[in-house]
This record gives sequence, structure tokens and C-alpha cells, in this order.
Amino acid sequence: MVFWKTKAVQFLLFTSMSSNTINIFDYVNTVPTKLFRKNEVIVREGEPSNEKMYFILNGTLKVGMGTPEQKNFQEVRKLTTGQFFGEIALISNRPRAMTVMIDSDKAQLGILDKQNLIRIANSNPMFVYCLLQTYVERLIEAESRLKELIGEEK
Amino acid sequence: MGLKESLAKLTMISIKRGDVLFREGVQSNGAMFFLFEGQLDIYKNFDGKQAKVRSILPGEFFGEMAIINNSPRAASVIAVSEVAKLGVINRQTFGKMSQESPEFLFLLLKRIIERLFETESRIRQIRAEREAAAASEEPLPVVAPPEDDQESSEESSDEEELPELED
Repeated sequence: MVFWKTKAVQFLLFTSMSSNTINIFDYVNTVPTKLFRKNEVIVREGEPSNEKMYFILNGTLKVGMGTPEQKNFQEVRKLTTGQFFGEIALISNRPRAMTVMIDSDKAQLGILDKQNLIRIANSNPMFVYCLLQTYVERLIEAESRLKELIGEEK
Repeated sequence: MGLKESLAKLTMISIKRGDVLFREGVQSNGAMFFLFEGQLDIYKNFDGKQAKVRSILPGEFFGEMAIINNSPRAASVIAVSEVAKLGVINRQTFGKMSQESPEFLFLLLKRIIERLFETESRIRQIRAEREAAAASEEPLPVVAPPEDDQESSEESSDEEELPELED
């Protein structure tokens, strides 16, 4: 009991720090990783979800519509070290909306599914907390953008 | 320890119909809540008008943004049932619950991702509708084309910045 109390105190100390000082990649050794090579496809548009999300530990990826197999891949944007994608797969079974493939010579990705996310939450709640914080920031941004858009209608 | 045990230890409060639990824009006291009994409505101010966003039903967590981000309340919450019984989760309790029941953080994460997905879908939908409306209302090139071009390129560069990672 005393043990978790100490941990809870540490946790609270962390949470009171500015969000900028918390880096999700400090916790990355708790996530299984895999090395990919150029042009390997990570998720394919229209494919059923494999219930995994991905963190880019290093490398560059390209996101786009279409697939290289059908030779209609059209790049929309790039993702790079520190970014993550595919989180909707953790919470729903929607098919993948876009294709993501490796752009750099090599790329190392952290792979997270629901099971290991819950396991990590068990041993290292700060990791999940950081993830949560990142999405809350994005949500606040998105909500204010939506508000602006609705305001413009008048 | 599971989530149920954690919830059973929460400090309970009771509010009556019409009571405002918290107001949009107000700096939060860093607490989130779990609704045990009753019904609450969420209201948000859109361009000067209060619009109901949705209801909160028993078994739901809410107000988590205040703990996670320390941001002002994003919406107002009002009791609509005669009585509503709530568990209060302050920062300290939040820390404990995160330690004791990992599914607690996962549940919150799930909710936030869902909300982000919904919000981004609505943004895309509104933009698409406006683009379609603008296209159909534009048979007369009254606006000088270069200006128009600039505007649309600004729009698309803005979209580039949005991390739309919903796939």
C-alpha cells in the first residue's frame, strides 16, 4: 500500500509539470517495436482494422489515398519521428481510411494494440496519461476550430 | 484493484434539478466526475447561443479535460433529473485511480479519441459542404481569380496542419 502511495505522489508531481516537459517517448521502451524498410506498407486503405496504432520512433512515412499495388497511391502528407497514427483502430473496427507506407530507407515503429495498452497502463500509467494528454490538446484545438467554423456561418 | 472498487471510494455529492455543476469558460477546480444516478445535460455556447450538446447518463465519466489539461471548462453541465448523484474525482483521486485501475485511463483515452474523431469529422463535413456551396454559387467570376486561388490554398495548407490520423 505504501508502495503505490509513493508512486501516486510521483504521478501527481509529474502531472503538475507543464505538458511540454512530458515526452511520451520517454516511455517508449515499454512498447514493442519493429523495423521496417522503404516502401513497406503499414496500413492499407480499405483493409479491416488490425486494432493497432503506431508510433514513429525514427524515420519518415507517407500517408495517402489509394495503394501502391493498385498503382494509384497519392500522397497527402508525411509523418515523421515523434508522430503517431492509427489510434481509431484502438476504439473501433472501421476499415483503414488511408494507406501509410515507409518513405525513408528504414523506419522504426512502436506498435500498440488494446491488450498491450492496458498492460502498459498497469505498469506505467504515465505512458497512457501522456497519450491522453496529447489527444486532449488536439481535441481542444479541434473544438475551437469547430467553434470558429460555426461562428463564421452567421 | 478494479475500477468498481475505486469508484466505491469516491466522495459523493448530490445536486438538484436546475443546479449548474460547472459553467463553460470558468477555470476549473481540477475535478472530474462520475455520474452514479440521475441525468445531466451538457450545454455549449455557440456564437452567443446555448445549445444542448448531449446528456450524461449514469455510469459516465465527464469533465476529464480539466484534470488532464488544466483548461477552463469546455461546456456547462446542468442537472435535469430531480436529483443527480455524483462521485468527485479530484487530482489526488485521479492519480490513485490511474494506479489502481489501468482500465480507467484507457476508458478516458477511448472517449477522448472518439470525441476527437467526431469533432474532426464535423469540421471536414462543414468544410466540404461550404466548398460545395461555394462552387455552386460561383457561376459568375465576380471575385478576381488570383484572390480566390490564394484563399483556397490557405485553406488547404491549414488542413495540412491538422493531424487527421483517424484511419
